[in-house]
Amino acid sequence: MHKRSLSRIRLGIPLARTSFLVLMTLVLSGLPSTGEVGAVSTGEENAPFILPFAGPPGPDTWLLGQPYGNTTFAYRYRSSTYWAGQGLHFGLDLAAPCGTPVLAIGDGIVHSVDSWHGAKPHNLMINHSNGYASFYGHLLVRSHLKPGQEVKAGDVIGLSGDPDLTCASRPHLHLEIRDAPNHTRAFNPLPLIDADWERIALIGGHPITFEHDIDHPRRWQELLDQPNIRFGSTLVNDYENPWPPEW
Amino acid sequence: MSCPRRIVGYVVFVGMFLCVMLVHLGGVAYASPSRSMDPRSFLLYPTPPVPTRTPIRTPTPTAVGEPTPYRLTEGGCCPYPSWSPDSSWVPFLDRPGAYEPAGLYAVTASGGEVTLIVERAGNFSRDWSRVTYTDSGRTFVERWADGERWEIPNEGREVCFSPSGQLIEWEVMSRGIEFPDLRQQAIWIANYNGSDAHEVVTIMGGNFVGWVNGEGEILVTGRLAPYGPSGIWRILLEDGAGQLLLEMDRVRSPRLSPDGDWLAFTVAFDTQQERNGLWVMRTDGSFSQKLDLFGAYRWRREGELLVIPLDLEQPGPTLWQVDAFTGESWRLIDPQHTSWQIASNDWQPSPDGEKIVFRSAEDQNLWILELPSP
Repeated sequence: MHKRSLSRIRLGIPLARTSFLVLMTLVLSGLPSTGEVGAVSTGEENAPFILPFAGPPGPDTWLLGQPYGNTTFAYRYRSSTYWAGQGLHFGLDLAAPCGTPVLAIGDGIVHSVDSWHGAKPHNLMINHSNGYASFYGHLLVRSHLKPGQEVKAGDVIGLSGDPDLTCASRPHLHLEIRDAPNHTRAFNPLPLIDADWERIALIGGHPITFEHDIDHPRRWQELLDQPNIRFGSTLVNDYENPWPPEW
Repeated sequence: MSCPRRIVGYVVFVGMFLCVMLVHLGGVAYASPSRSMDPRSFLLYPTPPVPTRTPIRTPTPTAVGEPTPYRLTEGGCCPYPSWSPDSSWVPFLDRPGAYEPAGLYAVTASGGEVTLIVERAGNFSRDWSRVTYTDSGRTFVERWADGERWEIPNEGREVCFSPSGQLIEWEVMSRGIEFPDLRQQAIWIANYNGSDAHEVVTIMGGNFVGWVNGEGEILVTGRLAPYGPSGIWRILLEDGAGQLLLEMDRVRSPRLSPDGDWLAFTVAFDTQQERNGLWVMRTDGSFSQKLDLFGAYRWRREGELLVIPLDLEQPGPTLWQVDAFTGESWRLIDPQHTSWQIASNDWQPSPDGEKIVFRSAEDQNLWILELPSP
């Protein structure tokens, strides 16, 4: 039996360089300067958007990956990858094979293509008239759309890709819903997209887990009940008593 | 046996004494402990606790003979419930009010008052004789009967008990690696009191799954060498030697059966599309097959897998039981008569296989569904 000293494995690879760039660009864009999102009509339409994929979920098509919010995974990377989003996963990950057509979730105007918002290798932002913006990250190739171009819900805006550029390791679409036009806040996409999310979440052998603050163990433990995010603001989940514990 | 933390069977520990409380808050009742209310009573008494209150039945009409779930808790409270070894108690992490302690609360599976049983978050051993928790960044294992505890030399990491509770496991994960196939996990094993702590194996792009062959081996996924094959491995604790049971990239959501003889897992988006789906395999590597169903799954008993198919066309969730050997399946619940929804895939079969507890998506409370036989 071989024995080794107990120490963390550190390979020295820079942590989430992309996330840092995202954060810096967000900060430089002056996010919390105005802060308010008066144009966002939260609650008026229960679910104004549609799913970004055309077909039903399945092992060949698409599956729910990491949901938005206070996930256990985001908690582990709260000070690095998810620092810009106050320690929360500021989007919705939908696992899908590379090349899966991605649909606009609502009518709108293309705001930017391959902007500084990160989510490599390619991304797209659409501003919607209801005060929201939708952001599509990890697209396989640069979108054929141009800024200022009008899109309708269900239009193909690009192809799903893989942040690792392998189309094997973790191909998925990273979908965010932000405020428009500032793009300084993020909202839980699940209540805003017309889909049966609890049914879609019934995948695999384990529950979807959110990090507990033991002092407030009921808080942010539901798919549909997660906090809004103000990019660049302080961490909201830097718990003194977390569960599961630090790793 | 699956690691409790994988199931997220959150528990909380109060040391040697059960809390003596009688308060009512938000509709949740707390009671003084008695023989029937002591979750440890199954260790002392062979009979299950006596229910103290009639379970709250769902008002939804159902067809004759269709199993009807009943609600255990009120007020919405209880993510990641688990079970006591005798299937009589359902513990969960909670803090019902600002003036109440956070900790593990429990309710009998037949309904009744919610009782604070321990005042820490942690994981029990399978027989509930020991509990592990962290305190100020340090990990402890405590014998529940007398409160004797041992500090584990793992820098405050969560640990997983072996089936007998004699051994513990934890992982030391690589940091700063975004590429998931390169992430490394060193698997450490020790005696329950923290002695003889040592690294058994380092895996890449995978995870610890659980214990097999009693205390002698563990199951992991991923690769054992940077350019070696990826799949499901059996690792001998004695020398860290690995046996590749099934070569398969990116095994998702592996779930061991209660005794560790079977594994269920998912494959998705493989370029060989015939591989995509829900698989079962013997953990000795002698047998594996892809099932016709796909969705959420838990083991009811050895070789008996419960599956909730991913089928949005159905009016409600349905539940199937699959014989892992033959692949034969039986529908246990008719989706035409299920008005309930499970929140966040949060459901657990009882150890006796007679029922499941689930968190309702409608009210975030715990409900029990008694399972029919196929």
